[in-house]
Amino acid sequence: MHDHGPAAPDTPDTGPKLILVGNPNVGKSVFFRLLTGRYVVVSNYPGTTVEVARGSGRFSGQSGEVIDTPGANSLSPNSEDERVARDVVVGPGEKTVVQVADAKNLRRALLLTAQLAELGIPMVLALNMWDEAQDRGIEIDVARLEAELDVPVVPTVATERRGFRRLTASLADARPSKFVPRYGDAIEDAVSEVEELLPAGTAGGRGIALMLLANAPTLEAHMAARAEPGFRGTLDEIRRRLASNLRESAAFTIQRHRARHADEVVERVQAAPRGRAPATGLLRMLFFWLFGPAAFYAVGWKLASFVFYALSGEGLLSAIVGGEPRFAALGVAGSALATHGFGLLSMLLYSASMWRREYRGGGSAAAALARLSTHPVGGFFLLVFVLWVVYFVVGVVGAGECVDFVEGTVFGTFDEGEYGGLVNGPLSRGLASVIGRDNIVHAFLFDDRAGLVSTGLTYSVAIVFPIVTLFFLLFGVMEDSGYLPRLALLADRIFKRVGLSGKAVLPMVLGLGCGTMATMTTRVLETRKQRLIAILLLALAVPCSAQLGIITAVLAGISGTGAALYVLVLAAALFGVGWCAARVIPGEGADLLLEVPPFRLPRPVNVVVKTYHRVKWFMREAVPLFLLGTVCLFVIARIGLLGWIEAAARPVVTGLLGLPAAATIGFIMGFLRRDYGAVIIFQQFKQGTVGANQALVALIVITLFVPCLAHFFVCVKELGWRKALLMDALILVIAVLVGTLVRVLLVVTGIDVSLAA
Amino acid sequence: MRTSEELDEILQAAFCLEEERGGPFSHDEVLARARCGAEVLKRAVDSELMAEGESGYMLTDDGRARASLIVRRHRLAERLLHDVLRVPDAATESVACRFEHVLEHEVTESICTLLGHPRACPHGKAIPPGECCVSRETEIPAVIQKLSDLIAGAEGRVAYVHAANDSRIDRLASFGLLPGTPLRVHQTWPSLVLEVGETHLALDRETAEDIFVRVGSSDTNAAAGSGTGRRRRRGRGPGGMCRGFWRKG
Repeated sequence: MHDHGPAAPDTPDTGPKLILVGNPNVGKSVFFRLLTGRYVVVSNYPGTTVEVARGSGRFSGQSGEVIDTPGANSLSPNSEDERVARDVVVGPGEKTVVQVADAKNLRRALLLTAQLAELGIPMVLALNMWDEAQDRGIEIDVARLEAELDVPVVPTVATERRGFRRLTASLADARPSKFVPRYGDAIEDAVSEVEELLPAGTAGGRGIALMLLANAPTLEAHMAARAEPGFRGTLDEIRRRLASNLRESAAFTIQRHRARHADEVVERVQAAPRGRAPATGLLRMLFFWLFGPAAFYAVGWKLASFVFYALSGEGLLSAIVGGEPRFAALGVAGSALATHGFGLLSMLLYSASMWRREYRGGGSAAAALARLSTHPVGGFFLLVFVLWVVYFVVGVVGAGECVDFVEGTVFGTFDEGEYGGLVNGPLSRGLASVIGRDNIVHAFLFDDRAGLVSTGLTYSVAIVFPIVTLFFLLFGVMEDSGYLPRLALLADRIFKRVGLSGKAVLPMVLGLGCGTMATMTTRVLETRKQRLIAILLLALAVPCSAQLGIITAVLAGISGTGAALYVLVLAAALFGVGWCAARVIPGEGADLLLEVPPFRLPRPVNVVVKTYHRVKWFMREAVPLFLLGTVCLFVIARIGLLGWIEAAARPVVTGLLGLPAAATIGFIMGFLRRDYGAVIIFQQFKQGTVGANQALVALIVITLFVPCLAHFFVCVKELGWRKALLMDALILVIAVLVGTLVRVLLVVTGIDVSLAA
Repeated sequence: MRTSEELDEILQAAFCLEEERGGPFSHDEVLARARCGAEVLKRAVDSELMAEGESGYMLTDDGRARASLIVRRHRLAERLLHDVLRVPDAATESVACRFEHVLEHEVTESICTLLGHPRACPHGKAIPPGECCVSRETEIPAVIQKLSDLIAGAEGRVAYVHAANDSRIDRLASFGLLPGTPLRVHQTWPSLVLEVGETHLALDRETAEDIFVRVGSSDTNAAAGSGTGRRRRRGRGPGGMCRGFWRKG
């Protein structure tokens, strides 16, 4: 496993280091960008940063290394990302800490300040989001706080660079804080005993001793390696003695003292909130009077249409039950009236509730949205709306219009022995005029099944690029608004059944963007069991954005029943496997304990920059793999290996799944990238070599299929080779099994999912 | 009276010994723990409350039933003194020892309800459940309630966190959710959302069942919380209230 010891080899001991530390979601990464000019992803939810980012910057008149750490509520870690942060802070070398605090939550920040003070690290405190605190009527006496802590304190608004210059100037005055709580005789005695045990030259002995008393296994192992033999035994003895003298656990008692201390300081420097001013503004009016009602009208109408559709002749329900159309009596006009009636009803209910609860009281649009997003009924309506917008933008506009344009018009498709388009057509004809058509070089570049340009480049750029870009753009808006953590609230009860807490929604939804990133984000989960289940489900049943777009395109070509079946089967696989995993994998279940950030209006610049960096990163990773895959495919096709593999896979592909042998290429490419596999199925479906029912089966198998290479390597990094390989084998079996079941189901029930049926 | 108290003491000592080691105990151990003479033990055996087996003494079923009531009274009293009356730790034990002999059955059940049917004493030892814990009658408005029983909009301060799961407590503590922290319930379904200062925290039912809250608007709680506050309230609060009352009347 990925294990940063406090003295990880990649930590250079030389030069001054500036470490950004703070509670989650307070803006550390924004400061990192300001200090270094290097981009790291910034969002509005706790857990955006799970790894340490390093860059160089200039501070206090000299240049040195700047380190961004994952958010931590405590330096006695409860999860992997907190541990990473702790290890950086207690690591060796000359360092200065900039503690970034949420000015609205001074008390929580001070709990961390106390721990930094105990470690004796020179620091300054940035009271970030100063504007939000002011908006809420929170007044902090900065000079008084400076005196209490004895370190520079600077109010800042990082996203607007306000206070940044003062902060960098104050770094010259950075010094260890005097905010060191006393913990009562029992703990103080134990601390001094542990301090004597520590290896000579350990900096911040008091802080380290307190961490050891509060139980810190990895830190203890690290200290034991350098201390005298018998360190562990004596430490255990001290801890046992302390436990018998305390009523609660040592960690809890220590934290309680810190909190009391922090409360006293907060009481002295912070006046009681004045209460917030009533919100005004154009956007608020638009939200209450236009966007909200319109969205709710759309959702009510769509939901009613969907229910009618499902219950009428063409729908899934009657396909299974075999019943007569039930709403034939209403007729076209009647149905339209009824569905729009539901839209109107939903809009009126929404408006009445909003007017009564939010608008009249002068609440802001953000506050109303925040309440709505976690409302038991309204929350689900909003979710439907958000999903529908994503489907529309990514599926219809992206996978439909954009892909058709880029693939058909710009690149050109293979049609009756000739390429069209602006790229493939002229290039292939030009090349043919120079070296002729029937040679290996031309085939290598423009083979219709495995040409480097006509397939590899075209697929990756024409199909994947527009879809991924649009998805990341929308995703960025969702991230920055603060919507994602709210999904955790809605999903917690369902997720509990599969051994996860609602917090796992974050990696799962991120997985819809890119499974590789999402797998790293599982570090925010507290228990090993949760992480294992989340990583498994991500690799198994969560399609990434590239794949999702192509899948949407295929689904658009089969009937609504087919699309519904696809979703149902995947959901069943996800929960079935999760349910089993929760029972098989030993370990502790999961609590939900999550900070819900306030809703904020996303900053367009941040969304665009973030999308740009993500797409760049994605293309840099995806395009070479697409090209490599194409080359491999070309080679095995040329030397005749492809036919052999197709023959070998025939029992499974044709026998079990009922697909044509040609579909095997899709699965082979699926080992490299699942989206590549999906593209091949998409193409075969368009050409008609794969029927609608077959496409559905193939789609389900390729979705459940083993993760792409990059994703697999991240799994190896997080779990180790043995577990990752075992997981891949398991996934392969499940994918084929589920695919076979779906095929049998389709045959037995006689459902035809083609559009014509 | 005196003799029955001695009997109570030895039954309680026996109960605690059985609880700690899960089996019989010796003659000397129980006498040392109960600080009484051998004749009390003999009387307990004669009344068929305790019995002597091969590996030592143990409680009979009757004895255990009676002992668990005593222990229940003792530990509930500790909770009451510690959480509600805020008696200093040093005094809690001796006062609780007197409480355990005098509490009537109904009073015990009322205290238990008042405290929100706590599951453990301040030292983390289990409180034997009584009838009220099973039937959950809440005729008396509880001063301390489980967070999971509160409705949206309720305000209060954390009274204590049940100590069954250390990692859960540590995680709550790292979010600053510690005894004394004021909070407000923002919503309860589909998950519980708490307002702690300006932070919104989402948590699940299981966690909320471990958090016990002293209910009431945070201002009066702040006053009850500190010594100066209590004085202030005595000086100003009732007077104002009376004036208002009389003017109205």
